[in-house]
Amino acid sequence: MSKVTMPVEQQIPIQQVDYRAVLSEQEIAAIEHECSLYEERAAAGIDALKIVQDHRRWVSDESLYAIADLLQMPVVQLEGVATFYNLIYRQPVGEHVIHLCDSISCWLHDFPKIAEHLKAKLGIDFGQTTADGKVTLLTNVCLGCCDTAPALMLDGDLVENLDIPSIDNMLGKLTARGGKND
Amino acid sequence: MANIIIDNQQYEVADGQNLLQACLSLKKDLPYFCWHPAMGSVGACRQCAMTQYHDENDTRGRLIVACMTPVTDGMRVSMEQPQETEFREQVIDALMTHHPHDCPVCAEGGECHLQDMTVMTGHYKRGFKGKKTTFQNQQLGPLIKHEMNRCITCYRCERFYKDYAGGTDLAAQSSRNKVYFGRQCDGTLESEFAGNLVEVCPTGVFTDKPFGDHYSRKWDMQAAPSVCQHCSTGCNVTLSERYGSVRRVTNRFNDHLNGYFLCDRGRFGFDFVNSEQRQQHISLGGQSVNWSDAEVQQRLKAKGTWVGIGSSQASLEDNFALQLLVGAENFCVADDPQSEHLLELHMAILQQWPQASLAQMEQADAIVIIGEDINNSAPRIGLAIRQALLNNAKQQVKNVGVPEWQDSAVRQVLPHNKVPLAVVGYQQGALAEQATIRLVADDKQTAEQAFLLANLLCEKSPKPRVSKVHSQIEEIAEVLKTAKRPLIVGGWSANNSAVLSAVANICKALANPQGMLCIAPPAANTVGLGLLMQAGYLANEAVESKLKSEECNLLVLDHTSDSRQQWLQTLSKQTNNVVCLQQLAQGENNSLSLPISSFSECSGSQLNYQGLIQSYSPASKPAGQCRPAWQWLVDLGKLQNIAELASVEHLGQLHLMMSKLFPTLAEHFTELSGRQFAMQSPRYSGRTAMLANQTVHEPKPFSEAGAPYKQSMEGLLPGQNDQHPLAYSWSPGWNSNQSNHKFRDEFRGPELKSQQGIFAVPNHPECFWFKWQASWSANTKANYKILAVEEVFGSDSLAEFAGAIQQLSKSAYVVVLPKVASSLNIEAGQWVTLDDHPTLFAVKISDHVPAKSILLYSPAHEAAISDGCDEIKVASKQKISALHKRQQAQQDVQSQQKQLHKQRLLDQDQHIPIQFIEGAM
Ligand code: SF4
Ligand code: SF4
Ligand code: FES
Ligand code: FES
Repeated sequence: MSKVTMPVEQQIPIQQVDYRAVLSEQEIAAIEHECSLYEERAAAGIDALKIVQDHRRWVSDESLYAIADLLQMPVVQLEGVATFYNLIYRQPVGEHVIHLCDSISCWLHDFPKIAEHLKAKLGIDFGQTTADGKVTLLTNVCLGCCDTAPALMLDGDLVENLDIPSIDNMLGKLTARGGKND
Repeated sequence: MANIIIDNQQYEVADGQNLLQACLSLKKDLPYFCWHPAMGSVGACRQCAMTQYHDENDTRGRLIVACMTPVTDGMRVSMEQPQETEFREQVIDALMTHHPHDCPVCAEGGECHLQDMTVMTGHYKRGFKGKKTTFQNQQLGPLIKHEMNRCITCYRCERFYKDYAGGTDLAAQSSRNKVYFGRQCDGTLESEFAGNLVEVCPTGVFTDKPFGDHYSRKWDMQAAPSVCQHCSTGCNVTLSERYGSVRRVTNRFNDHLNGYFLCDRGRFGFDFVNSEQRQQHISLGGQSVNWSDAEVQQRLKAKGTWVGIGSSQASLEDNFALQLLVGAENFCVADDPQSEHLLELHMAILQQWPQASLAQMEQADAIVIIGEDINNSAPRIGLAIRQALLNNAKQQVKNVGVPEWQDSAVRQVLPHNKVPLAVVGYQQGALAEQATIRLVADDKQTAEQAFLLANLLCEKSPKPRVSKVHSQIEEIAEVLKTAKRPLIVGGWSANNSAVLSAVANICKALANPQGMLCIAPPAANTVGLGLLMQAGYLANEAVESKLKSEECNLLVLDHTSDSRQQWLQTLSKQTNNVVCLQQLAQGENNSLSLPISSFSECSGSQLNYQGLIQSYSPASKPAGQCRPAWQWLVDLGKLQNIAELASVEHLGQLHLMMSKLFPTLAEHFTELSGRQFAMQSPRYSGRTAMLANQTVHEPKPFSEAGAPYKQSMEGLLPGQNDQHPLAYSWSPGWNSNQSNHKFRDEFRGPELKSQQGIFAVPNHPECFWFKWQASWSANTKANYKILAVEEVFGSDSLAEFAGAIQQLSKSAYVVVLPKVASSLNIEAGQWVTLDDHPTLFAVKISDHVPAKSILLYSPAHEAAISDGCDEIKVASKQKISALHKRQQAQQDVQSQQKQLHKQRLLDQDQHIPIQFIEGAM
């Protein structure tokens, strides 16, 4: 969540954004379709955020205001939704996003070692993106595969039974192929 | 009633409430955070945990949260067993994992519900070893300070701001241990009820910013029960004082009026009493003079008729004294003939129809607002109406066995169970947007359609000239016929007698004994003037001619409105002797002006929109030569040999005289028997030392003769006498305003208790129809009819003297229809001029503007505009840049003044001139 800290007088708040000026026709059509499935437009908030994120990798302030405008809902309410879910990115992320599970089973299965290795290999800490913009490293709560711990999620797919070689293997492949959203 | 067993003790408690309410009603100390008496339960904090047992053989029981558990007959619970007390202690531990423990620098300290609950649960040692999260605070504008680290995530702020008050710019964000309550980005909180966050938040996240600039602890402040001066609702407030200046206004619970909440105009507008512009000395043509000066005496004793002009901003006592002095036949009650006419009409309606209280309005099951901008003219009433909109949803959950205090259940079913809200007229804003039936009409059409509505309800009701009934009106008629407790709202916003008459006709036509009416007059004591009017008055139209034809002197009770200033300018051309009783110096002229005490410095009474008489008490002593206006008037009475008035020595005598004339008032003015209330808490510090730099003698406490309150720490404590309002709310262990439940039952029960107090306007049960008058059908010839709209901040001329309110006031604007905008080629946000009027207006565009009309807002201190205009023109570049320069200069002046104001108050704290401390030396 990015918070503006300038004094009110100096700040240039994003007043009202016209969604047509920000969102693509494709995005608008997809969001409108979701709206048609709910009783209230605001209920399509999560879907709309996901749609925009699919197109742009992350949800910028401008996108947030545009979605709120399209859904005719208060922007702070949409921000509440966007920041509630850790898979909605409110800051730019790399081409690939790794969510390493840091909950109890994974923790017991060498989380610290794996985390260290990942960080060292990528040269970044949690919450950061590699300088080439390829990979963002984040944590996640239990991924629901405690039986195959330790685990991580790479671009939405599970990678289980992690060990050092399998991580190296995975990272090797990442540099070989393009980003998910390219 | 239900019999319940708490800790093996049997109690009888009212049905329908939850266990937390029951425990608090029994005056037990059960800690809680998220529950709020006006907002119901959501079970977010788990602080109110208790144990429930199956039967007497069950020794283990199970933990429950009291606020989510309805009381049932025979239920067996415990509150003081280790199981639940330890749990409650741990809840505090968990809620406080991020709390910075910064009470010494927190404005909430000393009246903090979190402090109280922490002590109550016995939590004293931090168990959590992890790091604290440090949040970034937001700039939320001039009223509210944000300190997010102190949050305990009880969700009260969001529930109040968004759910209760309908605000759209504050919500919970993020998740887990990063939950954040604020706006999307920095910026002024938009809701006019934001100030309530200060009292709703149980910790110091949201605090009162102006108060923080000139701060004092609650226990160090002298508190007085008072009444808000900024609209006709008459919300009950507490004024707090230290070192001679009033520091803040807080809510004073009144079950039928404000309940637990105020609007920001009331909470922050009081600061006019500390304004630089307060007049403190007698002045003549702007120069300080003395009472005994020959010229002053000559002015005061001048021969000829004295014409008095009353004021709806002054107390009943002051106006009454003025009326006595000049005689009813020379006492004028209004600034223009139209207001006078409205007042006459209003009083006639008030005599026929009792006005619903806010608590009663909250029970309405259908609401029709006729031509009144209630959101802006009486904000707290607007908030009450908003609550009524929940009633069908509440009924719906009750039907399936869920209690109505289950707030999220109620809000879940709300979209499908709306209470019909009809809005007829041109008012904009939050309430109008909630309307289920909306008819956009100018004031004349509003009146016509309202007359037709009355006629649809009852054939005998007179018809207007037109006969075309809009379909919305037919719909409203159907709604009203089936509603059990319909509420009709009208008022002075449209400045139109036909609208007021129509509202009365609708009530008569409805003939529903459960039906409710609310008519909002413009000022705090408008109805008080209306009452005095019954004893006779001088017609507004006659004033000028009287001044022209006879040797006349003018005696004016202070009113800060622009229309009053303009009228006085005209009048002062007709007479050489104008004497003003003034609290705020406005403009230079040749008048003699006597400085009068503000409502925070003397006792007085006023009548709210219902005609309910309410009195306020002084929180501080008047500064300089200020005295209550009635005292000046008594002295004038002595000079002019008005025997009746000259004999008055204290307010009690004036009250007696008023009671003779208006016998209903007698009961309200009963004198106090027995001890007085202490206005200072027993912990008040520095009593003997705070003035030691000036005198070593401890000053004698100040109190007015016969007043029930004493500016001292000696006297009755809260709760020791329930005949008079509490000076401040405090009970052992309950330092915050949550102590309220120790003094009254916070569970209302199924039936609303009737409203206490004296309604000063006598009821005449016989009521009549108001006929449509031919003059009402006239229409303006101008191209655009101008319909004036109000703003919470900016339309009350008195509150404009409070720095914080001034900062929030909008500049003038007009609202036009999209087709008008496109035909004139103007866009929203552009500046335009109207005819050759000098003011620049910002353009807004809306579909909800009546045809051939424009809506216009101009701030209270800018010249009013006539009722029509022919031409809307884009303002020239020079004019716009001149305006920007002016605005910039104004902002600079404002922020400079803010600094000076702050400094002046701080300086003043150390230098209370000794002569103003009664009993000193
Ligand atoms: S800011 Fe205050 S009211 Fe809001 S959740 Fe936090 S503690 Fe509760
Ligand atoms: S609603 Fe009216 S009386 Fe109540 S606080 Fe606001 S301005 Fe004052
Ligand atoms: S704890 Fe990692 S998958 Fe469950
Ligand atoms: S007060 Fe009962 S759970 Fe919060």
